[in-house]
Amino acid sequence: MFDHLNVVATIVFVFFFALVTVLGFVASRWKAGDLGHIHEWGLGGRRFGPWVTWFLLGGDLYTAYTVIAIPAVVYAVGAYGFFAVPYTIIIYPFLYLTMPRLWTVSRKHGYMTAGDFILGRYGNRWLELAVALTGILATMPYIALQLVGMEKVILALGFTGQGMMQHAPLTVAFVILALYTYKSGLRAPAMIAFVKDAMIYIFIIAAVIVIPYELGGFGKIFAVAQAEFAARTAANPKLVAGVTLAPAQFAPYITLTLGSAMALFMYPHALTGTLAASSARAIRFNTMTLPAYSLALGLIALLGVMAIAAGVKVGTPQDAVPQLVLWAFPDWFSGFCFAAIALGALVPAAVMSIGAANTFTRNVWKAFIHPGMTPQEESVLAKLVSLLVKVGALLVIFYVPTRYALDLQLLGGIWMIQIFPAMIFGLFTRWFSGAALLIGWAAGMIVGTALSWGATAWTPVHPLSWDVPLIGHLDLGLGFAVYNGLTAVILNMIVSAALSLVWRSNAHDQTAPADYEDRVIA
Amino acid sequence: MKYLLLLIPTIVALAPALYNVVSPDLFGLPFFYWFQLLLIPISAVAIYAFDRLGRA
Repeated sequence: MFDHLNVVATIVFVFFFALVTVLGFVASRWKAGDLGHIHEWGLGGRRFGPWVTWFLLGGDLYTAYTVIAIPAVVYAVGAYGFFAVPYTIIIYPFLYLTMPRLWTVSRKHGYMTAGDFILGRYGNRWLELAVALTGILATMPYIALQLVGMEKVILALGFTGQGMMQHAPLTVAFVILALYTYKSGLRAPAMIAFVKDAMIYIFIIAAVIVIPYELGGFGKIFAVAQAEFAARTAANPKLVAGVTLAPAQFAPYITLTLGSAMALFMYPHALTGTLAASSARAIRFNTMTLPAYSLALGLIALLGVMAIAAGVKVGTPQDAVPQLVLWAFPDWFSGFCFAAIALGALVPAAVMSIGAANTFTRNVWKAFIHPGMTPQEESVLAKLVSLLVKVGALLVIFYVPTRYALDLQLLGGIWMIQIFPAMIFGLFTRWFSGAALLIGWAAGMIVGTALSWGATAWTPVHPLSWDVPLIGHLDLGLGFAVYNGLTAVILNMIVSAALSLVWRSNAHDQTAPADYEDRVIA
Repeated sequence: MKYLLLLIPTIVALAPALYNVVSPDLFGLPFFYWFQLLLIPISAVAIYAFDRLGRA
């Protein structure tokens, strides 16, 4: 089990892991509040200023899985994987225009989740339930993928095991995470994020200086990569790969970028991180400062081509970055980098489980089963649910092949985007009726899932032509493939708008236009 | 009009036809890569400018 262990790297790795474990428990005393109250446990009492929010959201959105998966796509097919960069560019103008409004109205009415806002705005508890279940469903495989990222680096440390023992280090790490999340709530990932983010930046800066130097510069790296992609596409004519996009990749690149950006801030963990800010101002500050992480992500993506140039050969592309790190750095720094990636899994996994737990507690259990819950009872339940969510994610890793976990996460994005119309249009207008949005949501969920469920393989993009039973061949004649989530959400919007025209809602709207404004408009 | 500050970087980011080329390169990095990386701080500065105009 330990025969091939890289001892130096493992010692460094364990040291940093122990350090953040201590921080995770100490965090319960930070910005002291009554953790028996759900606002304190699940939202840090909305006391995180601009900088804490920067670390928390940065650690929360730019996950370990991203650090592994984005360069993996670049390693496998080249330029297409770089969609992560425009994706993280277009998020922030959008964020600037929307999230301060959501924060302001949520502060005024005590909303903690997307479902809370939906109920207050549309007065429709079935839409609230739909939004809540979408978030929980999409979050589960996302947490599981954080574990995949962690397992990849533990594997790279040289740990080998038979049967269940193979997952032993991961299980230990996750039990520790579960315990301090249970105790400290959102304060734990916020505090750990300081360490994790600093480590990730050190890792990236070292990587983009040292590795190109060792490989003879970016010119050489890209020349080798270009030759490699040419060889791969010659060997497999179906593969589309290259250092720039092929014309057929344009539409998927654009729509995947747009769709991913629309989905991101619908996730419970993104909203939890945002609503925990202490002011709308703190959120605006972050729309200008979080792009620093996008820059890091773009540089991380380049590790994919560096791995090709370094001659890293791996069975699954997700192993490319860990193997590149081992190739490029001395053992102690490899251990440091692996610790950075593994801690990068802990922060989002903690926030995701808290976001899902808040959602389940308030929008499923309290709304439908036990309406008279006190905030103290909510806190007790949310803590328990956060444990259950993590056990569920561990079971997914034990029993579901990684391939499916990945598919489920992509499918999760397609589901998540379906609450976009209700959430974002709802920040600006009550013209849409709750029932219409619910039917639009259902249409989007069904169509998005159906489009993705290929006969042989699961595909995130689809040409806009279908053979529809009873109707025949339907072709929009655009001649390009579009991200399924975007196709589905456009249908969702059309259905919601058309039904809202004829089906007006007179349900109570808890919010007033002024509740959304945090400053006087010039 | 000031909304153009938010709109233009978004539209450019969503138009790979504008930057899907290898040259001119920067330190050996093809245009496709360094241009998109450069667009990140440009977009952040545009948001900052928009924010200042909003508060004025």
